[in-house]
Amino acid sequence: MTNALGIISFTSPAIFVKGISNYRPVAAFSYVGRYRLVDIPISNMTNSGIQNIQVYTNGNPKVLFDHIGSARHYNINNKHGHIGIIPVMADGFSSEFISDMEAYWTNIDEIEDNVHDYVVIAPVNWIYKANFTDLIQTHIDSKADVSMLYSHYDETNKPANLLNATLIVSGEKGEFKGVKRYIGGPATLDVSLDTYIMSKDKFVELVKAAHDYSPMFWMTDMLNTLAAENKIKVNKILYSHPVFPILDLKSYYNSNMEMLKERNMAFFNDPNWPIYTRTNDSSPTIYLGNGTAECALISNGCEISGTVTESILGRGVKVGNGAIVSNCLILPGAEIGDNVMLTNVIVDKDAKVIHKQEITSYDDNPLYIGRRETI
Amino acid sequence: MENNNMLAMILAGGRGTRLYDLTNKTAKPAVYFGGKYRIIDFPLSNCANSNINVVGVLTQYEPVQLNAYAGAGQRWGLDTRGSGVYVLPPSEKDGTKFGVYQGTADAIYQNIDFIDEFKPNYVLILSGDHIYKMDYDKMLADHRNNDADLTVAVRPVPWEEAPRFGIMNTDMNNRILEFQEKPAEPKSNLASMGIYIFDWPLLRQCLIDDAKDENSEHDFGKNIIPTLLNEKKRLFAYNFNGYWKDVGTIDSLWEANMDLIFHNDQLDLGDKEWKIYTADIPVLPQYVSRTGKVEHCYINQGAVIRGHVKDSVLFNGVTVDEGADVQASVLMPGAVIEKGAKVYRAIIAENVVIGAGAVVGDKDSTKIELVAADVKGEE
Repeated sequence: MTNALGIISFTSPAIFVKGISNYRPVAAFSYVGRYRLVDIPISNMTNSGIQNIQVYTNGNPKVLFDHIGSARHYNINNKHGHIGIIPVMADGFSSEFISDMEAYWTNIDEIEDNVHDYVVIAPVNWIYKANFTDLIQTHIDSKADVSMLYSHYDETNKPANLLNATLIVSGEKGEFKGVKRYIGGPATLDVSLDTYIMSKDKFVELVKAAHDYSPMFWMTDMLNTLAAENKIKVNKILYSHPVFPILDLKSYYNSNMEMLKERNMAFFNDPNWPIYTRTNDSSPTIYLGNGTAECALISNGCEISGTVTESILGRGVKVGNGAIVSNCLILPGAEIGDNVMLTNVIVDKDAKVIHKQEITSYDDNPLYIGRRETI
Repeated sequence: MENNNMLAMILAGGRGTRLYDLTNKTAKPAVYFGGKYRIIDFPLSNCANSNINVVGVLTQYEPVQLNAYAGAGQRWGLDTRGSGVYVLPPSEKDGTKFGVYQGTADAIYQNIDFIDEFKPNYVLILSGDHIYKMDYDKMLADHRNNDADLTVAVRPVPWEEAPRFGIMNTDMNNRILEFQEKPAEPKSNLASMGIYIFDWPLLRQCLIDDAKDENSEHDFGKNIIPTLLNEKKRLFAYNFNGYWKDVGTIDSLWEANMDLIFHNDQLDLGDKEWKIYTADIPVLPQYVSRTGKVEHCYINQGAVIRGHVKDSVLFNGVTVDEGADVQASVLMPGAVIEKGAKVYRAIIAENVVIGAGAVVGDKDSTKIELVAADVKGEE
């Protein structure tokens, strides 16, 4: 077992995915058909041997309770390990403005009592594959107070949309100066993956200090404050594998679609580093009649009688006779009726597109169809 | 869920010799079926969905894989308090030699102590070899309504095939008057499905008596049922009209897989009210690449398709590479069809690699090819 407590953080209110966000916290967003976003950091942790995990959430936690449940499906030893879900409780205060640090503070006794010496904090809105055991060693070797994971972008690899991501500001010698929200600008960027490694003692110290400032003081605010006073040594760790952000509707769409690329699919489809999720006991997917698929990721339990190209289908999606679904992200349980043509559309869970025969949007601006809507 | 006080025993000891290399290293009930399942998932899921809490699985031939698989009761939701899946291979008992199960009845006889522990009113005897969905709770209701001692599930078979089965001759009230094992001239076309509900105290005594009979083959069909009929016990037939298939041969295993595509309404595995449970494997959804094309198929998550597949059943972990063509075939977990290979009317066993450019099977053949060892590609 790795000597670390895993913490899954929630996103700040700046991260808003139009439509999808109305129904569930970011952690519960559907990803590549059969996952929810929270599966990614949890799987990274359990694959790294972290068996004690706390999932903090600032939205309606119902879906997460259902999804995570006993956590047995995450390959956790249920005698030695545990996944706790900790919803943010707001007393007469809008919960979305309560900071990550304040949420940790409300649970500080349990954190202090935890037997592990290190803390790994990972977000739900960055898709990557990382071995935290190795990163903890890197952190220890660096002798820094805090290590943080970042990705370097320039003209060649910059994703279409990084708005509201956390930028790392460095000094002339590359030393950590602080962080800021990305609102456009330079072509070359160091973007924080909102992933932190530190000793538990340092973590507790930071959480308590943040609470003394304000319940609205985030981890990033705390790092900025300490960096300005030269009171913290931060070690930046470059992550140079595929990584996808979820920052708004477009990046949510793109980060799903990236997985259709052979290179990315092969990187994440790793038998030695599986992504765990709750099984739904769906049957395999059936292609009926003239049903066909090309360039697609398709979950179990689907019934495909039409044509699916360049698209991702969640569990139990129905595609009717003669329907053509291209460049679409279809969430679980949705139904696309006979002869319907969809291009560049996100269809939320259990929605039906059965009356309108053709919906076409642009690839840089996918159209969103709401949960349980009938179009 | 309230328990119906019926315990199930699944006879899973058979080798299934007519499945050839598929059962060299594993028992027939552990053979793969339908893109994600093993045969034994069907009786186990039926039990779980029929309000049965305790299931004994009697294993004998190559039991290691089957024991490990069936022992994990949580897969079927059979792990709550008072419920469980118990794997029961033959074991050494006080006063007996370590032996094997001599027959289907002997297998139950040797586990009388196990059954007694749960004090069931009824014992359901099942076979681990068949693909079907059935509510045993309904059959039990029938058994109770008839005040029966034994209820046998039967299904109508074509008259010309009846001589291959155990045939039940019944009266208007479904009471069994006569039982004919593989009759040359059948009087009815109701074939026994090898599914029995017994009152446990009666079966218990019957098994003890049968064990003492040196002339007995200790078989339900040959010995126990004829004995009960002779004793004028109340035996009833329970009619089942749903999909049922014995997948005991390569051809029938292939056909049953094809039924999922060509007659998808017959055995609806997508039925949310009657799910078939199985092992959960953490893999991505099925991936069809830019060069891949899927038509008229039944495909599990975790398959990677870069070639053309048609009229086929693909399990998790299957890879079909660029330029490969797979038609009318079943690709079991981990099978790899390399670049340009052609696979027609074949069952490709677990983890078998069909080398680049190789050709397996024949589109126009009536035969189904079983490929259980790697096939070399072009050098």
